[in-house]
Amino acid sequence: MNSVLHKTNIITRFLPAALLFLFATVFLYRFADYIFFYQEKSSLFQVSFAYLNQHLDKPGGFLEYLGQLQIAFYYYPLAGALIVGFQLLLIVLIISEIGKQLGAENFLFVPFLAGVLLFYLQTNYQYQAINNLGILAQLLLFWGLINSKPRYQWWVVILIPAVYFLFGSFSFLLLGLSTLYFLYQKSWMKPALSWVSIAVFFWIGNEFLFFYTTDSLLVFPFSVIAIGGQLVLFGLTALILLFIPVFAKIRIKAIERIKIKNIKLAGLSPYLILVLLVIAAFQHIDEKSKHYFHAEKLFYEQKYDELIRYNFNEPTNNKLTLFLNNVALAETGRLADSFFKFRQSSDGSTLFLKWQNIGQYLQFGGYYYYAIGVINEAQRWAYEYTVIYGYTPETLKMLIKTELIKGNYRTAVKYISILGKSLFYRDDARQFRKFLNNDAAVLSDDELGKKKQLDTKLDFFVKSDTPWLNLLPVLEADSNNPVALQYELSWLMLQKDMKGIVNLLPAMENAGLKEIPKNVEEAVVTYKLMRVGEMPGLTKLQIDSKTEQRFQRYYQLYQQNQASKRKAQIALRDFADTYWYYVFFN
Amino acid sequence: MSLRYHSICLIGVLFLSACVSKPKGDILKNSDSVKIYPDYTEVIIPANIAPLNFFVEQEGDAYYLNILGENEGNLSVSSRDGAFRLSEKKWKKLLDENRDAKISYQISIEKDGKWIQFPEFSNTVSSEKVDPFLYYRLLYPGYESWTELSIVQRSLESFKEKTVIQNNVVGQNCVNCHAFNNQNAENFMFHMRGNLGGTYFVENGDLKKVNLKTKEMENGAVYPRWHPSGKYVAYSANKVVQQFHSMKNKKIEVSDLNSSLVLYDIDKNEMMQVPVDPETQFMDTYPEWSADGEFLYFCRAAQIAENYDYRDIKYDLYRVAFDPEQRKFSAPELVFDAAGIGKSVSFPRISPAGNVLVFTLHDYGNFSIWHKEADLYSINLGNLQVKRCENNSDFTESYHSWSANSKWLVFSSKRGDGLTARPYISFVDENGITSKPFVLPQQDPRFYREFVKTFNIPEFAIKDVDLTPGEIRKAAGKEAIQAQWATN
Repeated sequence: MNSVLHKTNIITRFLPAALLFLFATVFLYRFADYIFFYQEKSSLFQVSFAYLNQHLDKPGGFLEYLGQLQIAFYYYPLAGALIVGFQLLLIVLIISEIGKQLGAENFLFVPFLAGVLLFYLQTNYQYQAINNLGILAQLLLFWGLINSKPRYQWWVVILIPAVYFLFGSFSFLLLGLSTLYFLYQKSWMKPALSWVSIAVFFWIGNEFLFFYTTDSLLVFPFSVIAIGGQLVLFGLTALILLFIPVFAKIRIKAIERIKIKNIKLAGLSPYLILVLLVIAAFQHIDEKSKHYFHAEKLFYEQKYDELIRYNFNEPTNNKLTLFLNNVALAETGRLADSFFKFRQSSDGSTLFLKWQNIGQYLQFGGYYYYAIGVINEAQRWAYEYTVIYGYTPETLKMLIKTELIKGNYRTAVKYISILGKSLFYRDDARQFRKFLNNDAAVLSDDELGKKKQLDTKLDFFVKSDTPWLNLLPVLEADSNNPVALQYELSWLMLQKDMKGIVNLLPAMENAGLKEIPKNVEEAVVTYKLMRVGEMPGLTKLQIDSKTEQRFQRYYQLYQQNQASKRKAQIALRDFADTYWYYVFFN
Repeated sequence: MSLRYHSICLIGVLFLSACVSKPKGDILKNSDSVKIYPDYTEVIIPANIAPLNFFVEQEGDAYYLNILGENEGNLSVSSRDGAFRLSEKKWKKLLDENRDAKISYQISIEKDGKWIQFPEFSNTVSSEKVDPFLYYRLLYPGYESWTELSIVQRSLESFKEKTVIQNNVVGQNCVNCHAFNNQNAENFMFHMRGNLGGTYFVENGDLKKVNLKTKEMENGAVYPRWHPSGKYVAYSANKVVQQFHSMKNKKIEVSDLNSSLVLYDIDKNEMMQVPVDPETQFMDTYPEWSADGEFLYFCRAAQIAENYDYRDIKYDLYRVAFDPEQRKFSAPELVFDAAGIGKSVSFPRISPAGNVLVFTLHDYGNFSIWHKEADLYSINLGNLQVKRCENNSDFTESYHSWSANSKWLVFSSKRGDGLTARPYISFVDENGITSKPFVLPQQDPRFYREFVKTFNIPEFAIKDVDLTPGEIRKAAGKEAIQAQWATN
C-alpha cells in the first residue's frame, strides 16, 4: 500500500514536470528553433581567460558569461531546446523541493506555474539565457540555505556580496527569498545583516571599484530587452518566485479539498496549466520572426537559390528580408532579371541600407558593399557593428574575409584567432588559416577570389547615407562589374529612369551579358515603343520580340481598365512581376 | 608530518625538474640569429622597466634562455612553448646590477632530442630611468562608434594596469584627449563628450568640470597642451570631418574644415583667442609650449576653400612668443616649412629639457595616425636643424611623448600589423639620436599578436592618477563651470 502511495506521489510530483520538459524541448526545437538561431548569431563565446576576465569588471558579469556559454550551445538547436527544457525541469523540481522543505508536502501548483511562466517567456526570441540561469542559480543557493543547519545559515550574510558580484541583480531574488525565510523563522538578525552586507558591498563597488553608472550596477545583467520586453509577465514570475516561502506556508484547505472524481484539483492543476500552456505557446509563435530568421539563416549559409525560392513561395513585406533577397539575387546574377518578382520599395530601402547605428542595419548593410566589391566599406559596417555590439560569428567572419581579400594577413590572423577560441567555429577558423600569407589561395577561392578581383580599383569617399551614389564610381573603375551593374540597373528601375537604363545597354554588352535581363528589357521596350528617346546602337544584345508583344498586351489591358486603378490591377495581375506594373502602380 | 613534508617537497622538485629542460649533451651551434617576438634585440632599456617577456618564433620541443649580466648576475628560464615569462624580482635585480652595462640573451632550442644554441643578442641597460607610468586610451582603431572607452594607467616598472577613467561610469559618454602638465599627474585634464560632457581638470586631487566652449567660439576646444606654469592650457578648436576610403588600406580620412588656437586661463576661468590669425586665412592646430613657456608652437595650413582636395592640405610648423605675465602673444614665425618639401607636420612635442622638438611628418593633413608614411622627425631648437629620427619604420609613427628627464620618447607605431598602434619606447641620447625602440612589454608575450584594440595618445607620467568611479560620477553630475570669454 505504501509502495503504491509512494509511486503515486512520484507520478504526481514528477510527471507534470517531465511533461513540461518534454513539451518545452519538442516545442522549442520543432516550432521555435529560430530563437536559438537568433541568439546564437548575436554573440560569440570565447574559451579564454581573457574573455572571462572581460566579464568580471562589474557585478553580474559572471552570469552574463554563463549566459553566453549557454547560448553558444544553441549552435545546435536540439542542444538549445534540451538545455532550456532541462533548466525548466530543474527549476520546477527545486521549487517543489523548497516547498517540501518548508513544510508543504504536495507543493505542485506554484512550481509548475513558475516553470510554465518561464517557458512562456522563453518563447520570445529576445528572452536571454541569463534570466533562467540567474533564477536557477538563486533557487539552488536558497535550497542550499534552507538545507543548511541554522548555525551555518550565516553563510548567506557573508556570501551575499559574492553572490551579488557573480549574479548581479538576480542576487536580489536570493536576498528576498532568504529574508522571507528568516522572517518566518522569527530571525531578524540574519536578514538585517544580509541587507547591510549587500548594501555595504554595493556602496564600496559603486564608489571605488566599478566604472559603471549606479543604475546599471543595480540592475545589470537584467534588462527589458533581455526579457523581450515582457516586463509584466516577468515581474509576475519574479514575484511568484520571491514569495515561494509564503506560498509554501499558506495552505488554502478549501481548495485542497476540491476533488473531481476522487482526484484532488490541486493534483490536477499542473495538467490544466499544461493544456493552457500548449494553446498559449502555439498562439505565441512569432511567424514573422520565424520567416525572417529562416531567410537570414539561408543567407548566412549562402544558400541563395533556396533563399530566393523561399521568399518567392512565401512573400514577405519585411524590408530586411527583401534586402537580403536582393543581395542573393545580385550574387546569383538575377537581380535585374527577377527584381520585380519581389516587393520593392521605391525609396531603395529594399535595395540598400542607409548608414544607421542600429544593430541589424550595421549587421547587414555591408553585404551590399561586399556584393558590389567595395570591400573596405563592407568591412567598416562589420567593424562598427563589432565595436558597438561585440563579436558575433558572422560579423567576425566578414572581418576575416575582408582582411584576407585586402591581404592584411597580420590583422586577419587576430580575428581568426578569436574565431578559433569559439566553441563551434573552430573548423571555420582552421579553413581561414589556410589563406594566411597566401595570395594565390585567396585568389583561387570561389568567394574570396571573386571578391578580390571585384574589389574596386578606384579610391573615393564612400557615401553611406546615399548608398546608390557609390555605384557610379565603382562602375567608372570597372564597367564590367556585373553586380554593380545589376544594382545600378535596379536602382534606375526603381527611379523609373528609362533613359538611364537604356544608356547602360552598351555597358551591359561590354560586361559580356548575352541577353538583357527580363525587367530591364521591359524598361527598354517601354522606352523604345513609347519613343521616349533615341536607342543606342547594339551589336550583340537584342530585344526579344515576345517582350514587345507582352508590352503591347499589357498596354492594351491597361487602356481598357484605366478608369479604375483597382480594376486595372486585377486585370494586370499576370504582369505583377514586370517593370510596367511597377511604373504604373507605384 | 616530517616525512609527508619531505615527500611533498620531493614530488615538487621532481615535478619541476620534469618540466624544466636545460641544454645537455652535445650542443650544436647555429649561426642564424633567433627570431623573437616582440623584437627586443639590441635595444636600450631603462633600468626600471618591467621584464621584456617574449617568445621564440622557431619551432622546438623545449627552449632555454640564459640572460647574463655584463657586470654580474644571470637569469635562466625554461619553456615548453617558446614563451619566456621572466620573474619580475630577478629581472629587477639583474637590471640593477648591470646599469650602464649590457645584458646578453643566450637562447637554446631542443629539437628532436638535440639542443641547438643560437647567437647571443643583448640589451643595454641605461641608468636613466623612464617615468614610472604610461597613460593611454584603449580603443578600436578608427571608425565612428564606441561603447567602451577608457583611459588606462600602466606601470612601466611592472605589469600592473588600472583604469583611470572609463566612459561607462557616466553612461557611455566619449572620453578623449587627456593631457598632463609636464608628465605631472597632479595637473591633468581630459575631455568628455555627450550629455555629461565637459572638460575635466584634476586640481589638487579634486575633479572640476568646465565648459570651455563659449558663445564666441565656433568650435569646441580639442587638442590641449599645458603651459609649464600650470596656469594656462592652449587648445586648438577644430571642426573635424571624417570620410571613409573605398579602396586604400588607410580606410579613414580625418581632416579639419577650419581650426584656430585658444588659450584657457585656469585661475581666471577665461578663454581667449590666440591672436595669430586675425584674418582667418589659416587653420592652426596642435599647440605645444616651449619648456620655458615663452613660445607657443603650432601647426598651420592655409584655410581650405569649398572644393578642396584633402591631399593639398599641408601644415607647417610655426611658433609665437608668449608673455605669460601679460598674457600677450607676438607675431607668429615659421619654424619649419614642411609644405616647401611637399610634406605636412603634426604633433610638435618639445623635450622638458627644451632643446629638441619632435614632430610627425607625413604627406598631407594633420591626422597622422592614418598615414602609413608618417615618421618622426626632430628639430634642434638651438640651430633649427631638422633630421629624421632613427626609430622609424615603414609603417605609421605618430603620437609621441617625452619622459620627464628628456631621455625617453614613447610613440605610437603601427609597425606590428599596419592597423593597430602600439606604444614604442626609444632612448634619446645627448645628441638627440633615438635608439631602436622596444614595444611596451606585456606579461603575456603573445599579447600584441591577439589584441585588437589600439593604444591611443601614450603619455608618460611621474605620478599616479587616483580617481574613483564615485568621484567621476560626482563631478560629472555637477553643472559645468562656464568659462568666460576674454579679449586678452
